Amino acid sequence: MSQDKPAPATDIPSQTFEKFLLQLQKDGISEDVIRNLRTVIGNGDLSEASIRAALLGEYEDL
Amino acid sequence: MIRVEKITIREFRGIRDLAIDFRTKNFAICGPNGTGKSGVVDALEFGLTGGISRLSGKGTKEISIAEHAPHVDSMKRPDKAKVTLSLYIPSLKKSVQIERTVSQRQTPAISDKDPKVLAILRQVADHPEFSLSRRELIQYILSTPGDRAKEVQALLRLDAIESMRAVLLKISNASKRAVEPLKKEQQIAKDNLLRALDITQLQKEKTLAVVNAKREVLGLPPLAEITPTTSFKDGLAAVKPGDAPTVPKIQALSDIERLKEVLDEVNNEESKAKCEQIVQDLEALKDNPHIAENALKENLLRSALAMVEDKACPVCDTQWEPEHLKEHINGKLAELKDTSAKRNAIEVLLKPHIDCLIESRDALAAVARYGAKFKPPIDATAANDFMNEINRRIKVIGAFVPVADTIVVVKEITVVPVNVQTLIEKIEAAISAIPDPTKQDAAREYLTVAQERLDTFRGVSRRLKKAEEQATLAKTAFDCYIKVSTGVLDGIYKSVAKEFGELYSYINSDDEKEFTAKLTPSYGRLGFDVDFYGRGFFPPGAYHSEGHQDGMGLCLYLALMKHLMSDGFMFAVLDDVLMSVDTGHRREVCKLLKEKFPDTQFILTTHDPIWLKHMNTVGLIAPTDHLHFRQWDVDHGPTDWDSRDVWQEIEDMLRRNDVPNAAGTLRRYLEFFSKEACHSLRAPVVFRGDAQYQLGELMPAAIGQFRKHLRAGKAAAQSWGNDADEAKVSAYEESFAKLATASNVDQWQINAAIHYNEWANLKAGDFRPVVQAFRDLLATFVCAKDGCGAIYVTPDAANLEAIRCGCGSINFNLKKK
Repeated sequence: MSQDKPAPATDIPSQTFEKFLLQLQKDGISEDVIRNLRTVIGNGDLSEASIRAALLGEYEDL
Repeated sequence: MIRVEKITIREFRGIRDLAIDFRTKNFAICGPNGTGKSGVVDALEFGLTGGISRLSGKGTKEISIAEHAPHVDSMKRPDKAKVTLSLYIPSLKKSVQIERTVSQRQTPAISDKDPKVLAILRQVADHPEFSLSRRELIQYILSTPGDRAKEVQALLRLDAIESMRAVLLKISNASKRAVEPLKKEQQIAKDNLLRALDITQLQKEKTLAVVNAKREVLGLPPLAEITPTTSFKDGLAAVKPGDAPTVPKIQALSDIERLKEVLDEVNNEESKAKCEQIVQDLEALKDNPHIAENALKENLLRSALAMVEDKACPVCDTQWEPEHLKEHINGKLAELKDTSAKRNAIEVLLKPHIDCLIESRDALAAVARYGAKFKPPIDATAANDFMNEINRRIKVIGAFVPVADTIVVVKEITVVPVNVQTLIEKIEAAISAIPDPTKQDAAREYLTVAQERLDTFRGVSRRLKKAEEQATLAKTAFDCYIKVSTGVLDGIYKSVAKEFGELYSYINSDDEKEFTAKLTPSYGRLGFDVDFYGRGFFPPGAYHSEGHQDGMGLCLYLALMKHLMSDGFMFAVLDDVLMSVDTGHRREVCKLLKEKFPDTQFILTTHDPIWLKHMNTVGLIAPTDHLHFRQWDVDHGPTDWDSRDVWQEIEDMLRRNDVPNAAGTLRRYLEFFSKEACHSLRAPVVFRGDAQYQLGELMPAAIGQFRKHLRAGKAAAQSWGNDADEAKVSAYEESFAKLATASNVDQWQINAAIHYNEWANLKAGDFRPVVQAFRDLLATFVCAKDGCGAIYVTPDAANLEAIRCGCGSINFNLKKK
């Protein structure tokens, strides 16, 4: 059996989200979008409406 | 996190009043089905979390903890249904008591308010997965990849990762879908603009040339450049408020010309010929009910496919992963491929006609609007009716079935009503009658209409650009998330799969020492394939036996828990989880739990006493750390042989003159006791494949073996010249012989069935001596010292060395000099 003692997995989702935001930054996504996403994710709000607003901005009346 | 010292259960589930001292050690509860084992499991879960898994989830809609957790006689008194737990917290070196009633299940009374203690108890309450039943265990193994992903991710607290993936996919799909209609809208706006400019290509030089020519007529300076804010009519005086709307003659005639062209496309000879061919194809399908029915099914499936977004079927609300549901629907559509192929071929032929209808409808609407600008307005009823008719035709053709209706529409698709043609002629005549505009008026109208259409084109282009940017951003975010989350999940699952493989091969080291497994995450699914004797990787249910699958479920659970809680995995309840595992592997499972999880306190339940023996002999549980439930009734709850005074109970029955029950209880107790005695004394019993040993086989075997050991003890003492021991053994032997004779038990070897069946026919007074005789006999199998327990031989395998008790008061050497 492996002698490794893996870290508790309870914070893996937040670690994953942070990696996601860093990768978005590397992919050239604007700081505003990343800041907005970090705020909603940090608030634990993973609803479609909030993520959409953070990612794409509010729907604009063009 | 915690270990359990004690539990007290009152008026909870099937239990009236029960206290168990776990001593923070591994502990087993054994008993036939329906004797209350799972009630203890429920109480442990309830005490620690306030929830009961068995009363929630699938198939428990009508059941609630508030109503059904109390004992059935205390349904209206949830305050009486109470579980009290004494816990030990190793990290704080503290004991704490938690008391929870069903009426106040969210607010337990906790004896220690230290924030550290409360934090640990909250953490425990957040992990109800410490309790595992076989039903839960097997779903890790045999569920679909989608369901397995849900179960495993829920256990590993990874659900949020999957939720985010689903949300980002939904946003990406919606953003992509928003682009296409805007592209069509932009194309129409562009065509209208080109017609207004009277050019065929939207190029800057050509546009500037035609616009500046008109501006020159009006004495306006030429435009040097076209920027996003350029206005063709820059400098042109605005229309005064109150001016009647005018019909731009040249543009209106151009639009009428375009309408005529489109209508000609609708009903020219070539179009008619094509429609006749389509009608023939449709006629060939019309009388085939199978095709008609399949076409209806196909419509339903196509509609469902278009509506799949959420994690549920749009028709019946069954939970699905969107990708799986789409895959499922596409599979159903594939089954209709013959119908689909014929239908698709016809729909390809119909598409240009539908496009033409749409274009003619929009062109007719524009012309009808010109008619409304005349005084008095030209009645456009015919145009409106025809536009409605066009919409109807499009709808019928789109539905395809009933095929007969589609045939009717296709037959008349080329028909343009006479009154529409008359209306168009009337509007055209009215427009033609407008005096030709002066060169300046024509230029003014040109610039005004062109600017209106440019504004429309710019607006839709901005929206399209925005939509395309959003679609690109949403796709980038989704792709990025998939890359990151797949990397994370891959890492976790590789580690869990490795741990799982090692645990499983440990319990199957006899024939699957090289066993490995693969957990493969992909888009909301978790594939699980295991090695089958080096022949390749297959789903666990493909070739492995049910017993092996049980073992896999336990090992996967243990690997997941180890990953989830690491050193905090200190407590687990395994509720009858390994019922299919065979005898040989049970020992290995016990060894696995004991050796690989030495810091975890396991509470195990089993209906199989042999399993209990394995736990004992392997040392997973200490000899006294178990309960053996014998029966359950609604008035008393579970009762066990060890903790209740069975002799008092029998006497109570006899006082009530209830001899049949007293006889039954004595018989069951003798069965239980003699089985234990056979085990402790290594007594040979005729083997039964079904392990259903009878009292007549067990009790004589135990007595005979005890006699044999006492004789051997006496002979050994003689060989060593140990007179004192010889005397002790002889006295024990003599006393034992008398008691055995008194119980008349020897006669059972002649007819094992008779005696204890006849007991039920005795009078209470006649049965009491029988009870007393057995009570005295059984007492000789147990050390007289309080709390010591049964006499047993050592070792439990190979050559015998001694017969003794736990405290050493009885210790007879069996080895001769």
